[in-house]
Amino acid sequence: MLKGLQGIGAGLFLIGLCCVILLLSDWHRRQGPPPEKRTVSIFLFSDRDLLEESAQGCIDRLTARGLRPGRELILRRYSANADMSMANSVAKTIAESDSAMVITFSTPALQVMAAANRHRKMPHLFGTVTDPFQSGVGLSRANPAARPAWLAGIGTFQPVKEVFHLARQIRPELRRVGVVWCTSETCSEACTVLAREVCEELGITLVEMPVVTSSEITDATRALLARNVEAIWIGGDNIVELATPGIIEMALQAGIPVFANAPIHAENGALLGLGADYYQVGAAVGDLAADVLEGRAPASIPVDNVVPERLFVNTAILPRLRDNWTIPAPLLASAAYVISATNTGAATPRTTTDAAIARRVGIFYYGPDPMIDRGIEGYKQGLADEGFVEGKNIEFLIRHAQGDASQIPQIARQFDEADLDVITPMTTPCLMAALGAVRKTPVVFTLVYDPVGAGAGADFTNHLPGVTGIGSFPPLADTVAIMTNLLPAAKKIGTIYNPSEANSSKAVKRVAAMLKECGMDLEMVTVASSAELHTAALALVQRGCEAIWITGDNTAVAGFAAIHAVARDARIPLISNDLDMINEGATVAVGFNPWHSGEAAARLTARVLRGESPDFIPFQQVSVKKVAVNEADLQRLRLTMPTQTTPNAPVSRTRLLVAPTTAAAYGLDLPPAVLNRAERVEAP
Amino acid sequence: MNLLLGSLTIGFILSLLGLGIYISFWIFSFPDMTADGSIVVGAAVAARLMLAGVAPLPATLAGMLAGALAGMVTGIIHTVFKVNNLLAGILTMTALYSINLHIMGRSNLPLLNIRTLSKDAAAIAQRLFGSADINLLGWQVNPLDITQLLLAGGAVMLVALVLYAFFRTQLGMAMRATGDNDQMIRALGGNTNLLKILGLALSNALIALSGALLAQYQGFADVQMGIGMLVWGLASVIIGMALARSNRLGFALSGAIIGSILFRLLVAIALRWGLNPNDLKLVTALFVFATLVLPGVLAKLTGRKKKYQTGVPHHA
Repeated sequence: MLKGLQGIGAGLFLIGLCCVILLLSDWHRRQGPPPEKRTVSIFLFSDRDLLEESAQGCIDRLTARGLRPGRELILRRYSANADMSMANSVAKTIAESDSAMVITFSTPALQVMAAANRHRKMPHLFGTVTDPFQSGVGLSRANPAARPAWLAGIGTFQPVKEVFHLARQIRPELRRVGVVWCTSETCSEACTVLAREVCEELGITLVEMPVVTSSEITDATRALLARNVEAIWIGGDNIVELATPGIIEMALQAGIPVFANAPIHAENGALLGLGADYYQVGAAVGDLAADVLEGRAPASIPVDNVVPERLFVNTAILPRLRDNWTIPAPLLASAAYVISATNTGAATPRTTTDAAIARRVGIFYYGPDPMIDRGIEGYKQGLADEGFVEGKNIEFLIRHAQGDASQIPQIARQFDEADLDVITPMTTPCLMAALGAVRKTPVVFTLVYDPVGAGAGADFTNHLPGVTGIGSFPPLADTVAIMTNLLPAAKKIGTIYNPSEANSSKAVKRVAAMLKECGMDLEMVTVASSAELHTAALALVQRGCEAIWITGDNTAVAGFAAIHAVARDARIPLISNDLDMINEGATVAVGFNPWHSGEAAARLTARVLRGESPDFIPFQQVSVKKVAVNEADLQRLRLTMPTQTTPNAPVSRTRLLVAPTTAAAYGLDLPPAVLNRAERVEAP
Repeated sequence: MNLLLGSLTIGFILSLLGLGIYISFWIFSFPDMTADGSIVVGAAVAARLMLAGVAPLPATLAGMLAGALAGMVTGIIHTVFKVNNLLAGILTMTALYSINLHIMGRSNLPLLNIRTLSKDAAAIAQRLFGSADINLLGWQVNPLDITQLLLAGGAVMLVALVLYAFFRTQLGMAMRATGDNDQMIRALGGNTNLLKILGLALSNALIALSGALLAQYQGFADVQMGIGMLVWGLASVIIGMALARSNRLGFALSGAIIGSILFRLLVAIALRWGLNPNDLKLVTALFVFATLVLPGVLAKLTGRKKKYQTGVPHHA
């Protein structure tokens, strides 16, 4: 009795000890009073460069003022992808959230946010707005005192008149200038009104071509060119802005220059761009936001017009112009950036600096797998391309569950605790665990066949909050096309898979249906472990299968050599959805490249790291298809891989990879013709 | 803190598995391999029923019943058809793999968007603590985590008390005696076969209950979630038994629970310091080893001469 009690006591003591160890390891996360982190939402109407620049300027200034995202501030960034109905729901979400403040860039974002914020009345700062007084948000130029007390910001009226003066300075003979503008935008209208005034002053005829939607822009531009304009001007117009590169290209083909009010368009081929430096505009808004967060009343901030001017000139396009446009040297000297024939742009003048705070990203997956390794490689590379370089300003924590499902939720939980900036689950079981266990950290998944099937959302846009990522479904239609072309007379194809892998079951079901349409049967054998693969393959051969197809099934891939041995002896082709299997003896491999799926996830992760909320980032389907063919094996089997596959399922991006090791196994020499065609040759 | 709460909750949920294994392995000396399958069958039946709109509690109980059936099948294969006890369990476990796939219709079922016991716990948490994080010893803690922990702990205590009471009834006594010495029970005119079947049913019902709760806690049921569960469950029970050092019923039951919780905490500590992910299992194994050996070393240090063996039941 006593001994038992002692034992229980010892057990409880050990439990207590473990608890204390865990708690001590978590000590630094103890918070005395409730956290003083305030949430600030930044809302952009679209991902236009100049809005991005504004937001970056704002964030950088907030950081400089000691309000660091992720530390003193919780920053949520939203983009409406230039979609008005989306903008409305974003504004509503922000108004109903726990945000202490909202910052909007662009006129439409200001308008919808002001409407959604009518009752909540949280401080609302705005910037990158042409004319706030014309935006219908309750501001009046005539009576500055009558305004919503929670609204403050700056207007940035495009230097419209200055652009026309510059154009005239470059070419005094200039008489006719065309413009495409969108009648539904207040800021566009304001710019056009100014343009009319300055044209009258300078004796220039302004040929106007109003449009309502973006689909009319091309025709409108064509009409302008037909009406003999000598130049085209583009003002501050959200709709036309997005189509500007196309307008510039059409104009240049006609030998007509474009001058714009957004400097960045000089990089797209506009002769000159004179406009505000939106990074500075954003920084000015950031200053105001910091003031308000420090206690200044928004009503005490006058709504000023702030235009930090910036001129970009493109001299590289001069030879393509019909008329003679020579840019005077003083003007060139005053330009902030000159794109010449030798300096063709591409590099954006300002690169964002994220080096200030090291970010931490947690990656976890089911178990060791070469596919995952390449996914992670792509992921890291993608982040490095976005400016997050490992060892410099980003740190990766990588865990896997050693193939033990019961450990996955604990890893997810531990990650959620670890103050990470983003959690990236790879593989379906890890995504599902993350959906259940992660509450505080944004989740960006990848290498998941079917995120909707895993419960991450109702569809790719309408998904759970806090989660976004990349779905990569294997190119099954191409697989079927390859099989039907390789073996037009075949009646039976065999496959082996583990029914406990949701992805395999789904792929097998779909391929079976597709093959049925082509008059083929899919013979299926299921296995529970890789030890059963050899027998299963033998059974398929016995059943008279004319080819074996293996999807990206983890179990079958783990023991691929066993299947290969059977297929080789039976002289039937082996087709795989896992590209790595071309080196394990597959005749043809067609699959998605995990590197690209990782890289695509990195793009989304970068957006989240910059503060954008995953809530409104739709899932993406990224499945960069790759076909790898083992020509030596095809020759041995007396098969030919059709170069043109069936019209109903075209194989694009056909790439030839050659594995001399496999060829050597058959005692075959690879003909130089094959080697020359190969895009990559695996080292023997 | 959240890691601790989560690990304690999983520890409590899996201590039901520990109790089930205690019954088969300790009381009946029956190495019952059914466990790997019955933990999934509980999750699968409960998940499927909840997706079909059944309320969480009846669905969970139905999962438990399915586990009991699985246990009975093993018992019948062993007693009626005289199949070796290990093989009987393996047969049922193997068959359950296919059956579970059929029950679920696919290999895993997400439970995020339907009503589960977890969602009910969230509703209770909302009523008890409100929706804001609460301050526990200085840490900000989600009330749901605490509620789930309390509910899981409460459920396990309840089950343990019921078991304690049951094993003191005549039937329960007979069961324990069957495990100790079945020839004696047979000589006394008891039907040991029936007792074994009932015992295995009880054991697997508890294991299935554990599976059903685990699925609801982690938000999905997966056909592979049972792999290795028997082994880790055994490890937990052996830790508990080694600590309890007593075969008295109450201590043994407490030991099984303590062992499960301790084991999950050790996993959490290993995870917290997860150096190279490939070393995790090694570190876990070392921790478990240390826990088993430590009491003996301590006893030696304190000078007690009495020897005891770790991990071997007196009558096994």
